[in-house]
Amino acid sequence: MQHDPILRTEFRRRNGVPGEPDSQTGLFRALHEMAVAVAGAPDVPALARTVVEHACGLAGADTGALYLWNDERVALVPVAVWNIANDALPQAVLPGDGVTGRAFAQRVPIVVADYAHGDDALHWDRGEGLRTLASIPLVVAEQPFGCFTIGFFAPHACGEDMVRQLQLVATPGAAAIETMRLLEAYRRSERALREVTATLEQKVIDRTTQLESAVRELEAFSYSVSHDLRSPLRSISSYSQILLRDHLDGQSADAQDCLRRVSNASQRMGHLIDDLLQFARLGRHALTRRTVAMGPLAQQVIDDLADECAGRTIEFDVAELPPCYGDLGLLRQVFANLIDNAVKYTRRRAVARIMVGSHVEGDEVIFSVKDNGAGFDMRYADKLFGVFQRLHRAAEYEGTGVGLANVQRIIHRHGGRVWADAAVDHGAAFFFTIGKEQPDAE
Amino acid sequence: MPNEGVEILLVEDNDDDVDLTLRALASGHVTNRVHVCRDGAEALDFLFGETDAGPRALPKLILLDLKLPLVDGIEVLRRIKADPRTNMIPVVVLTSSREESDLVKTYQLGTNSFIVKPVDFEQFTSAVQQVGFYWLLLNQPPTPS
Repeated sequence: MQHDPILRTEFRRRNGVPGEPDSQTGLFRALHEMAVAVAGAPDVPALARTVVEHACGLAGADTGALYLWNDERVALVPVAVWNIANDALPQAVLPGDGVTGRAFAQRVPIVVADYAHGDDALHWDRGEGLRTLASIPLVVAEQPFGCFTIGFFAPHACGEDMVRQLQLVATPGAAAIETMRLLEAYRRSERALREVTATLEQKVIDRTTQLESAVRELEAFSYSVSHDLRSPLRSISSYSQILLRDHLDGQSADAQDCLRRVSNASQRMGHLIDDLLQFARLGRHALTRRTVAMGPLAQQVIDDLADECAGRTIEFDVAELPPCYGDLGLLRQVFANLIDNAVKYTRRRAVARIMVGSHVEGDEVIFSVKDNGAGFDMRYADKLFGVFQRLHRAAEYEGTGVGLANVQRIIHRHGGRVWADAAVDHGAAFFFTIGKEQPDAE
Repeated sequence: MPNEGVEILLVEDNDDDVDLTLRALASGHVTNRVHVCRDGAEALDFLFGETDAGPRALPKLILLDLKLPLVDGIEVLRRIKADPRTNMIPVVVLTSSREESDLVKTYQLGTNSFIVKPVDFEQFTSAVQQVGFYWLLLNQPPTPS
């Protein structure tokens, strides 16, 4: 291939070729001018145009184009042209195709000094009427990501010096373009992130609105339950009692019994409604955490139960309890429900024993309320904390089945757990933890 | 004057509750001089409307339900407490539900008591009698100027 005009790494020095700057000063001036222009370029196409313009100026070329490896990583596409219509160029150059594709694939400058004696294989990206093409790869961190290709209408030797000078343009040009590409990619992802964040925020707002409206509906529902159901209930209860008291004296025992049942049922329903409302209110009661002295709280609850304990022998044993960080009012309800239950279900014991204590397991404090009462069958323990679920007959132990549901709801809202252990006729033990949230700094 | 000697103004739209309240007051021998208004507008008219004989004599105690037709109890309370002619009359809110927002609102407006009507008749009777006894007999109001 003695006539091969392709010069890759072996360039023979040619002097006095037109267009090739022969002084270092000219090169430095060109590089400096390019550096200034590059610094002011707002985006990748502007930057690419600057680079190709300066390369053409330096080499005295007639046309030029800069190709970049596309985002899909399959082809080189022209992003800037100088002195040639963009549509005169191939819009996708595959690695290895033509001068540009080959420079890219081989990461070395490729020159076709004169197409009149050239290789047909390299005609592919030749512009109309061009006699000479030179393509310089753009490489950063050993990764080629584009090429610029310049062309001459008259045959041009494109000697070693000129190729070296073009490489001096290519190196900072490549660095600038790649930096700009990264910056643009960063800006794109930042914008995408902002959009995602905005979408997410909107979603949170939407969901919050939906939740708020659900809560409002629930509140309206509670209100109407409490108001609208209580009124007719009061009428049923009151008039049956008036009938019993004022008008059924001396009437049949059966009639009195029927009416007494009506009266009792309406009272039970009243308690159910009240308890249910309390349960509903717990959901929207905002948690106000503070340090709660659990021992004194339990003792207070026991003192408040004095009326219910009157006439019974109950041994209360409140151990020293560690303080916890929770809502005082709600924790009082927890103790009130658990201790009230203990008092109720030990009713048939000659001596009732009720113990309030705590122990540490791992990094958790577990509080407990234990009694020696009726207990329950652990097979039904899963029903224990459900609303309106009862493990005893109303005739034996009265109740609405809301108390333990309230306890569970309060404990869960604190981020804690509640469970029970019991055996029929051998007492019951209730355990609970309060979430780990601690006071800020005390 | 039509309401001469009225001691209690009862503002209540529920027939049964009116009847039960009147029974409770009668059986407790608190007073028989009760005037009943069935909605908020009627109550405002009773309190602030002019008669041929000039301004009405005002009741000594107002028992006010909150959920009322036309003008609700909160608005009636606001008008009573905003008017110098009526703002010293004790107002006892007697309502069916312990609605936290109502409690706060009515106290802010200056209600003198907030009573949730018990479902149980005995408790209801006792509550009404205690309210009547306290505000009409035990409590000492300032003498109207």
